[in-house]
Amino acid sequence: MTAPAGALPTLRRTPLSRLAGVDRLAVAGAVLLGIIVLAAVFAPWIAPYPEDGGSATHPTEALLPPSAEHWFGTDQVGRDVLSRVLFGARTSLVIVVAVLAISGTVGVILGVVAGYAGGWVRDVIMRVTDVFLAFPALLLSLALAVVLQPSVTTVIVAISATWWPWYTRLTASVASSVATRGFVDAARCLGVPAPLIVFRHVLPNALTPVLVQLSLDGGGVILTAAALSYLGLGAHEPTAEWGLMVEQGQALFTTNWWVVTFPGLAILITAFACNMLGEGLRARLAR
Amino acid sequence: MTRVNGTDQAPEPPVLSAERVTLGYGGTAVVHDVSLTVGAGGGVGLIGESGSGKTTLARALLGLLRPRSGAIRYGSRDLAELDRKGWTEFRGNVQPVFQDGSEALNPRMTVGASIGEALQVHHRMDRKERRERIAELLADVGLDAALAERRPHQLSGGQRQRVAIARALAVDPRVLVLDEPTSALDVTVQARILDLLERLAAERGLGYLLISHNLGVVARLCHTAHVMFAGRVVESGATLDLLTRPAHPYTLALRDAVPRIGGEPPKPAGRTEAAPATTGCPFRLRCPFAVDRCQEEAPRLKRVGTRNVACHRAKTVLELSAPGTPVEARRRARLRRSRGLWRRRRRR
Amino acid sequence: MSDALISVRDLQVRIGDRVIATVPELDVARGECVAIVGESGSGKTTTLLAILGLLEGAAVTGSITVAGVDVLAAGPAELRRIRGSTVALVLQSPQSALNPTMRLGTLMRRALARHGVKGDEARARAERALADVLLPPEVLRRYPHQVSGGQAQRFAIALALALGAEVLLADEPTSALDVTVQAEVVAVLRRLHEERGLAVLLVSHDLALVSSIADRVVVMKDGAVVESGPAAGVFARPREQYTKDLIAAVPRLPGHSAEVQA
Repeated sequence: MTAPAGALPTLRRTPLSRLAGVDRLAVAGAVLLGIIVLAAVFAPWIAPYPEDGGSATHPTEALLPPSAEHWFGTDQVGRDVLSRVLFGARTSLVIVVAVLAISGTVGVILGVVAGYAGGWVRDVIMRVTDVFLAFPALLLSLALAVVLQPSVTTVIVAISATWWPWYTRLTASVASSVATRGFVDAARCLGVPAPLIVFRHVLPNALTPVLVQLSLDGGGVILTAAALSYLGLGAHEPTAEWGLMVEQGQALFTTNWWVVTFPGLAILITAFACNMLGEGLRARLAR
Repeated sequence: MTRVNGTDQAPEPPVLSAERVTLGYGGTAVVHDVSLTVGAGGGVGLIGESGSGKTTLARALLGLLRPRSGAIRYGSRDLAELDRKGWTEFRGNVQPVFQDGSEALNPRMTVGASIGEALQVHHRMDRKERRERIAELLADVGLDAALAERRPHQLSGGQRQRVAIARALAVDPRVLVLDEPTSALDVTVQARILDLLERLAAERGLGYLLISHNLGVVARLCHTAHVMFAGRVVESGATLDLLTRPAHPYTLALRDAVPRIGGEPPKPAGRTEAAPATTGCPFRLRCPFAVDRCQEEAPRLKRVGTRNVACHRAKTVLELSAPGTPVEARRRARLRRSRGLWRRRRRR
Repeated sequence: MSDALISVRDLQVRIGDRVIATVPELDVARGECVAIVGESGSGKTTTLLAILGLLEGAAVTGSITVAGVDVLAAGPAELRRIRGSTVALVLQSPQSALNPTMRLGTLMRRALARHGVKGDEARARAERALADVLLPPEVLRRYPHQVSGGQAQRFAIALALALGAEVLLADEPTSALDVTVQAEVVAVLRRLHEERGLAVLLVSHDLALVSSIADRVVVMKDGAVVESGPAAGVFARPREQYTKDLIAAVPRLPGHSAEVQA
């Protein structure tokens, strides 16, 4: 029996207060992320010392504490930390977007194919997925990164190679259940060819959990990229990258705290913002 | 209801048929040795409750499920042997209407796009032609063309079901397989959908395979009916006949259990929890007429009068359910007491 | 009106600005079977829930008296007392209302204990109640998912009986059941109604069912009462057009009724 949504009062407590709270979380996360993205995009224009984001060095101004000229102080070779943090945002942004795009696309496509096709196709895909999942992501990324030359590209490749299986597994299970729904049967009865069914009917209806996962994963990617760079396998001098900056500044923590603290905070806040957005999305879509 | 039965013409050669079909998922068989035919220009009903296998049979008849044994035929051709061209023809002539309109339509597509997809697969049309045809189809099922831009969740249950019918009609089929098409709808909406289906059948010479647990709906649209229990057909024949004078105890139980406006309260036959028996007749554990033979020998479908019945005691049941017996006479006396109601009922 | 188990006057349920249901008058006397009939969105379920004070987030005005208790003014303790013991609720899908991790026997024992009935008295009541609904005592050892829909529904009725319910509020109690199973549950209800004087307030969209078992019927549409009165009269001689439309829309079964038709 159909009833217009919201017509009947329910036995449960009306989630009016909870509604605003959860949406506020998603909105706050989105806003914060938006600020970070804007900062990254406009870094060359808003950074007070844009050349410090690159290869400029000022040995005479090394390790100056935060002041009016240098809000975040300077690092060991005199570069403005604020500018480097802003440029570091660009690097991180590129890494996150690239990784999520690559692993998301590969993972989702494999997942819907596995979910819809079933049978041996699904078995093969899921076993390959299982093999990749059996390795701890960081270890696999490390192994790959060691083999390749340290660079931002390496970081992207290494992390993508270990992240796609999660999306496949997630998508395959949702796609399996979408494949049993009436409109998929109806499309089969119309004689719609299988690839069209997968991309027009199964995929759009299987995306929701993946989108949630993607936004949650943004934070994870940033942390993993920072870890790889920290270990010297990713970005290297003179590129501004948060993980690298943390590695370079950690020894100075007790004497010149600003060199490591600000990049560290940047990692924390960005990861947190991604999480807020992801959690907010998850709650919103689950309603 | 009498209109369909009254204008009973001999059904044309079957468009769709099941020939001794056994179906199952995994290890267990869900449908056993079932045969039936559906022709253009006639309604065939499949009556059954949950667990009867009716939906599984419907899926097989739509080519969505391959039989373990037996054959599903389109015309004279076995579906299992169809080539690509054959499948396209089959798909263009046999279409489903499912129970729940909100499930039968892709929630992410507009209603017009869903209908348009049907047109794209089977006809060559440019965008303008397609848009016009979609508007025509919507009008055919009594909907405003403007609804084409809406998503399924923006429509009412009755409207969604009409869209599902429009999509099925888009390929110009000869037979529709309808699985509980009105069960999820309010009774007034259901009546209008049944009116629509009746009109379409008359106008287009469509054949229906109508699956429903609702005897009244089947009586309205189908001249022939098959009753299914535990995956087997237990009785088939002309709908009016079958429901007026059941020859199988299960059909009798069903008919007596259905409440009627102004009528007696539903009569229980008891022991409905008993699972279908695995030896002999599957219905015997619930059957008030069961004798020893029912346990030893599974009854086969046999001709009894104008009917096919799978029951060793069919003749007894037939006598008992016929008008003129003491049971019937008592029932009718009770009904006569509420005479006013019956006088009001006009022929539809 | 004083021996009416349930008495409703000028009931109105609102959410924000929208009026969901308006019922000027509704009585259920001892031993009576009253049915509220209507399509989706008619407000029938809302009315039922309002009578038990189970509506949250909605503004309910009017007077609702259940077994002498003013539902709108009563505190939670008092409502708990009458709910389950005097007035019992039976819903459409019993298995979702029953705790899946608890055996049915445990469930009954706990429910009885909550209303102060323990030990031998509880056991005796349980046995009698099960016998009344034609369920074998073994059913108490099962879990909700191990019994059929019809058995679960009869168990819900048995629970109500064991707690001493005088009136049963049922919301589409048989809609999810096969028609043969429905007939069994309805037969149980009718026997209890006729032999034990159990009053029933039934909400249903199934007119034929209602017409064959109810004493009085209330027809609702879009939140308002369209027509009400003795069931036989309303179905034989409907006054309002909507009632006539509803009755006409029910698909008819051929059968001996067709022969009686003049």
